[in-house]
Amino acid sequence: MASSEDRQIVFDNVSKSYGEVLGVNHVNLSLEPGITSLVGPNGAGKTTLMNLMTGLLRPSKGTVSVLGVSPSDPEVFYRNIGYCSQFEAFPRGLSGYQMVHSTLMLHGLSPQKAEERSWNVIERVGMTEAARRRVAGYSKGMRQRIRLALALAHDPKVLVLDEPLNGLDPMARNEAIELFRKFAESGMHVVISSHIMHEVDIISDRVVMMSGGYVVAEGDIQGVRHEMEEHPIQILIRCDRPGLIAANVFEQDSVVEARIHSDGLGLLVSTRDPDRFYDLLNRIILQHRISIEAVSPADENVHAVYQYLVGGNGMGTS
Amino acid sequence: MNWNLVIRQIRTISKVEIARYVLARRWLGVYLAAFAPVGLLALDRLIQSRRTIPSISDFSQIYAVLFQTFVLRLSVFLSCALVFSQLFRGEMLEKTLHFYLLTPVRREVIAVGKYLAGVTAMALIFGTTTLLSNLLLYSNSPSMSSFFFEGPGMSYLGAYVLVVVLACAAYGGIFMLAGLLFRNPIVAAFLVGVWEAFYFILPETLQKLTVMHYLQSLLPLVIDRGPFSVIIDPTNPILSVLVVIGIAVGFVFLSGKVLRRTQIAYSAD
Repeated sequence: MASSEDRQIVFDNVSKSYGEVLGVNHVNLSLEPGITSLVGPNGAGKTTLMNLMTGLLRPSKGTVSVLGVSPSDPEVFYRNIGYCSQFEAFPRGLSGYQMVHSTLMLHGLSPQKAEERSWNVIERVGMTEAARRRVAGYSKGMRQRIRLALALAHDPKVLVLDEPLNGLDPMARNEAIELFRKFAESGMHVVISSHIMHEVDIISDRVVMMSGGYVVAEGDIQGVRHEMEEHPIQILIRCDRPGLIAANVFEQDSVVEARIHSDGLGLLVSTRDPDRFYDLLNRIILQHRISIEAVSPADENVHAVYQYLVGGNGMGTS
Repeated sequence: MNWNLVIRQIRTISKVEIARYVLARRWLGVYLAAFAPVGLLALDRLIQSRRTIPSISDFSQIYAVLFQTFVLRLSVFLSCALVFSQLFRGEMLEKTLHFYLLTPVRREVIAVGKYLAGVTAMALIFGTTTLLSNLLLYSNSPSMSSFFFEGPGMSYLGAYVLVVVLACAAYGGIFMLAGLLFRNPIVAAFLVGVWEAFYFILPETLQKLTVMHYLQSLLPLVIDRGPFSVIIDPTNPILSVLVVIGIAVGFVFLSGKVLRRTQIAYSAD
């Protein structure tokens, strides 16, 4: 019977330094299948974490295993992993098709099977027409698509994608996001680093927030946000009588602030106990027959949480 | 181990590598070095400035000097240094090594695949140019056909081609490892170059620690290396071949082991 580690990506007290420069420090993570986003500014350690996860780097301390396999066993390890890295370069003289086909041959497929699957995956990333051309002549977006094809070609169980949406046009982005969702729904691990916060919000099942080589928070974004007691949750209410709500919310000690919008049709409430606040809000609405347009958390998103945790706004693409 | 898979992986890597070589700029130097003797001899054949035609043994001596000084010590050695030291170092500099390292292939197999591609290409180039230069030189002699079909010509030619292939194999292994170990393999190439070029002034025991001694043992003619040379008995030809192949295998094996510990930190390279 498979242990839980056989379906997880596990970092056990992993540190990695480059000489005196710290890459990541004391990372303990157990990632379940689904979409996990790595979030952090340049130099936070996201790419180092991905390179450790894919065996391109060895930890200075600690161990990494993916689905119970160590990177020191490449014959098994790389059957499970597809990595779409940020490295720009491609070997000279090869076409996109040759890259994908030879990779599949190295995975042990017969030439016919490799050819068939190469064209399938090339079609999937929308590169059929350009596949016979040398990669050297590809645009940034085309290179990104071929990198994606290389990562997907052998049907990995773990897909690691370093800024996978860079260089893709909006339509291709949506298709890629849809594809990642499908993979996650089929039980795969999809680990993504992205600096585009609203995309991370849309696609992630969980986030790993990094700063200065440390993991500062991890989990699903609502869970991480709710654990941050020092920062009250902000709730936005759009309604016809915000002043009436504002006058009544302070009966709860946990409500620390209520700000009425300048248009007079909205209210931003900060509370340390959102569950109790929602009960109170329901009572106020029913009691005063207030017409509500929308109620939504205003800072339960990756960007806001990261700001609270780390401060500054240097979100980048490390 | 699934040997069928390993052989297919080696073939795939070699095929990809050879496809890449066609466009690599560093191969221009190799072609120039390899075809230089052919070009010179072809030019000489066209001009035909000699008043008297040397004897066949003179031609053999001329070729021995040309081969042992220019072809073996300079052309083959430098080309191997240029090509094999860059098999991995070049990929690190071009930031493309991760493509191989992300495949489910034993690191030793990657080393063997790249090495065999290099040896095949180099052996083909230098084997061909050795053949051509040898035939071109002897074509100046009216007794060429009797030398080749009745005399030792064919065995001489076979020995030269064998030596050039073995030289590519041994130096290829050495320089592949140097490229993996050192950021700047030129220093290692220079040291190996001095050691190999002046092997003949070393004492007997040290001469036997050079590749050149075993290659020299396979050559049909000995050339005069001046007053400082220490002349020792050649090693048995079969043993010489085995030793050179052993050196190549050993260095490729070590390269595989080093590759196992290689990490992708391109910015540090």
